[in-house]
Amino acid sequence: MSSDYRQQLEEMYDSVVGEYSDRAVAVLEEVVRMADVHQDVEWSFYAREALVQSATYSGHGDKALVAFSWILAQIDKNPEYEDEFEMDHLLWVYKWIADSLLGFSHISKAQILAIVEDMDRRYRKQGLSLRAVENIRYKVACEFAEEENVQKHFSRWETLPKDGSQDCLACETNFVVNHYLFREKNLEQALLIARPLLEGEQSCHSVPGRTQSNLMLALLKAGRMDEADQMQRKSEGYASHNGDRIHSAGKHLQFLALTDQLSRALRIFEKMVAFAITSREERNRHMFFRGARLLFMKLMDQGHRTVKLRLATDFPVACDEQNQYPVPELVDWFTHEAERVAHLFDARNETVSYGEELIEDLALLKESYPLST
Amino acid sequence: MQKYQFQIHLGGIIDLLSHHLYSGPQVFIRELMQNGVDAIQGRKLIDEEHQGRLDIQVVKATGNQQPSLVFEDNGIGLTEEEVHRFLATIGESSKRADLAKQRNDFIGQFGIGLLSCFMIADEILMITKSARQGDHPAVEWRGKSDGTYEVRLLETHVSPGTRVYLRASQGMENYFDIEQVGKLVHHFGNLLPIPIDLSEGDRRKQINDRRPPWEGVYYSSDEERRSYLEYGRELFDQQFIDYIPLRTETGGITGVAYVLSQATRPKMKSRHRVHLKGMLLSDQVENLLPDWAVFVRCVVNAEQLRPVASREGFYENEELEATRTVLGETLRNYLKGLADQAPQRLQEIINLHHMAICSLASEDKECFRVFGDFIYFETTLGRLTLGECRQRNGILRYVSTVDEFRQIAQIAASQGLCILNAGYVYNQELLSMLKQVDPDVQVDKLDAASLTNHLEDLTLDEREGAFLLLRTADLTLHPYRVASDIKKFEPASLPTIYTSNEQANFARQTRLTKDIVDDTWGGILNSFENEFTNSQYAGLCFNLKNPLIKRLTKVEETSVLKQAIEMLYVQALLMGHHPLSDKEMALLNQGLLGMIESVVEKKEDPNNEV
Repeated sequence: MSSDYRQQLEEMYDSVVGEYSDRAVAVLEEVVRMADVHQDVEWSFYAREALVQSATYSGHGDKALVAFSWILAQIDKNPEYEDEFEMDHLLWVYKWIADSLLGFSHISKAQILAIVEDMDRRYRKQGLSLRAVENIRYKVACEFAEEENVQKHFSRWETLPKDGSQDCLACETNFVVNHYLFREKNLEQALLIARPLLEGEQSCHSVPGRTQSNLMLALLKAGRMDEADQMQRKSEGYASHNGDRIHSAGKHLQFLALTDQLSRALRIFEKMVAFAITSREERNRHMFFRGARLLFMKLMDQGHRTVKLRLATDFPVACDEQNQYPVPELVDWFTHEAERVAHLFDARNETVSYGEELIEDLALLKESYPLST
Repeated sequence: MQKYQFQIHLGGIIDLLSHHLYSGPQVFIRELMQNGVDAIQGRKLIDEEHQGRLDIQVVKATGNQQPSLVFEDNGIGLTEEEVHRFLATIGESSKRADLAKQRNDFIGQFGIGLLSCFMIADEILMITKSARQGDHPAVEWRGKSDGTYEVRLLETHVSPGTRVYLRASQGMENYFDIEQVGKLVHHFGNLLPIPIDLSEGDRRKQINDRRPPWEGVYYSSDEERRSYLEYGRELFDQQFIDYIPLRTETGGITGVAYVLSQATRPKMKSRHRVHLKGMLLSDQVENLLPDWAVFVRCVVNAEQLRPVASREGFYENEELEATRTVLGETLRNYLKGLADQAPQRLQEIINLHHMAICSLASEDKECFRVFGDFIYFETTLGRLTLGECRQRNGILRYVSTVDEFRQIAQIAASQGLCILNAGYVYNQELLSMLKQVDPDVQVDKLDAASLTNHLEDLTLDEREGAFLLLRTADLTLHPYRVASDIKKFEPASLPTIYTSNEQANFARQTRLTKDIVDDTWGGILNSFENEFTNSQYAGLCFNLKNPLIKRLTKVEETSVLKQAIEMLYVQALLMGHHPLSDKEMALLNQGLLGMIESVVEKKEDPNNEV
């Protein structure tokens, strides 16, 4: 094979590295293939490392996971790579991967626990703090509704040292905010802890956008409409931006449907639905579908039989030539999908919470949440 | 109740300044020059005719005496009251914003600037005489780095202005070496409009005697060009292919942008040399130009932008934003001008800085209109500019990934089809921009897998003939998740074409990875394969125009067919740059061995010779 493949690899790599999009993922997959064909181990690692990041940040957790497992396997087979490869960075990334597994209903609890054990073992071997591992254990306990373990892992997590292997400061703050919001149900405390995020002192790729998207719904349910509205407006840009944000986008659809801001909701829907439809990140997609379901139900409640949408053509519900979509069919499709996936998760988790959320959504729809303006 | 005040620890403040505010001790030179320039500015307010001058003397080390520096200006000078005041203002607040505010005030700035000298000297002696109050005696101020100072009035006659005496502290002697001082003065002050003299004993020279090219008057454009490019080469120690004079009202910018002669990559940052009112702020300023303008390096002087407290960069404020926009506009106009007057130079710049130009054209309609046609694409007919593609074809066809492009390149080329590879960054944005700019152009996206649909079909008879081959192929390739098809296409030398899409590729990658991971991960990848990718088939399309395939349709022995199909499949994978799994590698090896054996057998059996 020609000797200039490396130059080609570099060019392709340079053209997309640091970019988080479907295109960047496609190019990096190609770089991986070429490096593998040429048995260029260095580039096989290098390209996969970039692919893990780009895929994670553009909503392709499945692709990140496959590339990541390849890297782990190669290092296990050839321990000499450990010196060349940034193990600390690799383990830092491990928490994204472990966390993402929770979001696929076809991955069993036993499989997830085995991965957490593997992560634990590798962190110990590298001499790292187990703070990040404990964080994942907490999330596992939340997903499987093991309330006692939730508390246990949270307390343990608090005492474990920070050595750089943990999440970034903003993400950690967001983590504590979520704990008070979803576990302790203490909105005041959550808002207090969220202050450095909301005031811009701490931020990262996904925070405070994600924090605000959570807080807005909690504020809405508490009837604090002005604050809720503010949170929504501040985080809308975040939530309607890229394929890794469909979870937050779903919350915005829900919020805007409940507060009767349907035209704004439809705009987000149009922008994000293509990401959601093609996404294989099941739990994130589910949140989007939940929001979409409420949106179209609200439209139907108000007597709209059709709605005009500008969408990519491969959408599961058909439209007429004027891009008019039948609202009842949209409601049916999103309801069906949401119920199907909720059932899959509840079956895996041996819980009922996914199903209950869908029922609660309907109850919320009956309430009225008028904005003051 | 008794009120106390915190004691400000001056040593701590100096440490803060030198280690956290400034980039290093060398800035004391700049700070002293800035004080001098400001003082001269002040004096001009009361005496328009006043000729400012800065004078720096270096005194070499003698015996046990450390080397020293005398820094003199003939500016406005300070009264006793002002001398007391300048130190008092420091440390009034610890906020950076306030520090910056004090810097806008002459007295406050003077004190902060003077303090920076403690980075290189333990003691500062200053003699100053105010030009504002003629009868006010000269003041001597002696400050120590522990924060104490003495002031006394002098009876001797001193001309208005300020003189600062510094003696090197241990380890800082380098900053008192005349070569070093000369370099630093030139580095920071070469654009200052006030003459700066440097002397040591009898040696004396003016540092900033050369004015920048944008202040020059030229009699011919050749002369101007020479002058600009030479200045750039000396300043940055690199060659440039062109220059773009810069002048804006906003921010009060004058200067020049030089076009780099080396290829630039996306996401590179260009670092510019930026002066504020003649004094160098930094030669590492990144936020002066819009992001796409990576292909130039600038040297400029700004009159109005607001510096950060360290005076080593600008505040990211509206004024800077507006300045950036105007400068971007200037660069744009330059490129547009080239399209008219020197298209060859434009093509040269586009070749060197392709990504930067693509980035600009993909977000700016007007720019796209002007030089979109100069941008090149990889196509099945080689590298062509967009203009050439448009001339050649009524309809522009493209594929959206590099992988698809490779799949179809050979077939398309042999049919003279021009298909663009839009798998690289900006390509698709540029094509959609083309549609916006020229709605009559038809731009179509091709799917590699569907390309085979457009190839010529077989006749019914041919179909019957190929049935066994296809049937065997389906059975043989099923474990590899490949479906087979047969068509007729050019080039006839190509026996097969392997097509796959994003999902099929991912499915393939998942299977390959599954082969090497441990059981824990293997189980998970297995779940993924079952969940998402099991239904994803790649395609292997045989070419009936190929002589070998034609012969295979005549073969009736399925074991022979199977072996041939396996080899063709592996060959197609290799041609398509797909890494082989262990199983596929084994196919390749078995197939090769089988072929060698049959060749050897033929040799050994003379009756069988063909």
